[in-house]
Amino acid sequence: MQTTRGFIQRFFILFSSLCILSIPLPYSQIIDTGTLFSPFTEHIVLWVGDNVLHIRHSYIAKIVSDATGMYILVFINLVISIIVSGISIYYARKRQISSQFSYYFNSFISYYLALQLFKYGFDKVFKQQFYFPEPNTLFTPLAYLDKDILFWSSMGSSYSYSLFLGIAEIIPACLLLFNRTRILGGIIALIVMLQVVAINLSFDISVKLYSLFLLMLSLGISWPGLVNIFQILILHKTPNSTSSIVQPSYLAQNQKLSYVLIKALVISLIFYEASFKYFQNMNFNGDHAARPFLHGAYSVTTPNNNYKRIFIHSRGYLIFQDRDDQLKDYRLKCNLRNKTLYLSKTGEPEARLQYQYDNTDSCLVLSGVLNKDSIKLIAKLIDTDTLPLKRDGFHWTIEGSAKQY
Amino acid sequence: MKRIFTLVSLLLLLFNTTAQTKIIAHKSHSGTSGDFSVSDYDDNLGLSLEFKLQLDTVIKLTNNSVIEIFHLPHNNSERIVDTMTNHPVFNNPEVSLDSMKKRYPSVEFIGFDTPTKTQKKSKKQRMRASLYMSFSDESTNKGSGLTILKGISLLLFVVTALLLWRNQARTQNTHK
Repeated sequence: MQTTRGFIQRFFILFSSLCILSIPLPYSQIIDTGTLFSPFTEHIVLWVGDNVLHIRHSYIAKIVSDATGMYILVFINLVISIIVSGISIYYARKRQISSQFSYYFNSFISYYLALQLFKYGFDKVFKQQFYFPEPNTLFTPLAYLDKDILFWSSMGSSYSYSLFLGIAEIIPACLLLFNRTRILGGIIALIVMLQVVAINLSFDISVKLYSLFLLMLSLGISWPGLVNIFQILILHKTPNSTSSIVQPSYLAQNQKLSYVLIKALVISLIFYEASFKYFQNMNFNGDHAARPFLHGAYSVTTPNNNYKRIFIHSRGYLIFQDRDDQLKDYRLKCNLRNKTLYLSKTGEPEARLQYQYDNTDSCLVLSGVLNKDSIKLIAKLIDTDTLPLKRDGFHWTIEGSAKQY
Repeated sequence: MKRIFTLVSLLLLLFNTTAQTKIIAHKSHSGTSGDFSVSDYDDNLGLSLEFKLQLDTVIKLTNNSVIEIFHLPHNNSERIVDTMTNHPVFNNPEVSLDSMKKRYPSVEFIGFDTPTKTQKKSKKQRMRASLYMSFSDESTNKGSGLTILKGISLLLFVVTALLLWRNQARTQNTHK
């Protein structure tokens, strides 16, 4: 029993540490070890994929969300952790990990999980993650949307729900930072992450592997609390106090001041890292962020042509929608001096369209040659603020809701 | 002024504030499966990479035009160059080089002459210039945003340290 427990402890510590160090994450202040080691890890991933797992089809070896490369990396970490834990438990004099080491490791993964929950939570609170749908998504028939973009767009249409989800992630993140509230934070994080994993699996959102990893960390942190809850509610026993990870008592003596200062520094650094980009851009609502020139949806008014709408996407794309609602996107570059739009797409020659935009009647005129066809399109900007999806409708009664139509 | 707006708008095409997965980023512009490439998107794991351009150098071309050179926060080797006309700060004769350097301490200014004694401005002119800078330039707000964040983080550090210290003292008393 002690051997199994010791093995699980060692495996958890090794596997978590390897994943934390090797998975790249976008940080602004903290050193991203995943990106730092990525030339080395991607080389190993490629070698294992080709020579050990014998993957014959082409795959993405980069360590990005749910790419084959990330699955291979997690597989490598898993194998290393099992082997090293097995060897370690075989040769170790003590089967159990010391309580002092457990405490420090528990603090480390709690801070890591708190940082991730803060980042995802702030992204939701400040409307950077679930953003209001782009103009082309707004006018794509529902049946043509995949489940992931549909879920993203639905979430993006409600600020209050995005705020709620964000706060639900920030609360456990705050609780995870302190010893007294860590287990409660872990249990709430476990519930939150369980919901996130369910969404990612059900809506085919490609953060499955990483959300499962965060779920595993939450489970590891909340485990002593879950054991106690099981003992109270199911076994009707007094909980075993030794199941909790406690702070080593020697810290209360000579290292008390340094402990307090280091902990306070780490907590403020986590906050600084998690909120850096919002303060840097002074943007606390992604939906109100500045949009590029011509951004929006345009209804084509020119008769006898195949195009129904034109969209300018915030990340520099121009999208045409034809009469059958089929969409075609082009990478967009804009020369404001020559009033020219440069449209490029893989396998097609670059197109140059002259544009005219009249602010008074919001009319966009495009002319030029696209795919060997000469086009001249007159399109009018659609006021997306008046669309039902953007209406700030909240009604306690169905009468109020029905009045909107 | 309108021209400045349009030039700035062009730069906004490079800005990326939203966070999503690479696949969702691709689907958001109605991209087809054949066109998908992971290197096209900075997003990863539903989080976005900091992608705000950071101003490195300003080169004065003429009295009403400057070249701005930016770099990406995570890519120091790649440079983005943009020509601006009638910039509200860099082409403003009422804003001195010293004021610009105070506002943008990390930016290198090339081709901006230090004003001679005769060019030195009256107190009224300096006040007007400083007011104009605080209202016209967006970057000024961004700089102050980080100052606010540093202030909040420092406050958080002090409060957390005090709370932890009190908690430690309380625990010690309980053990006694």
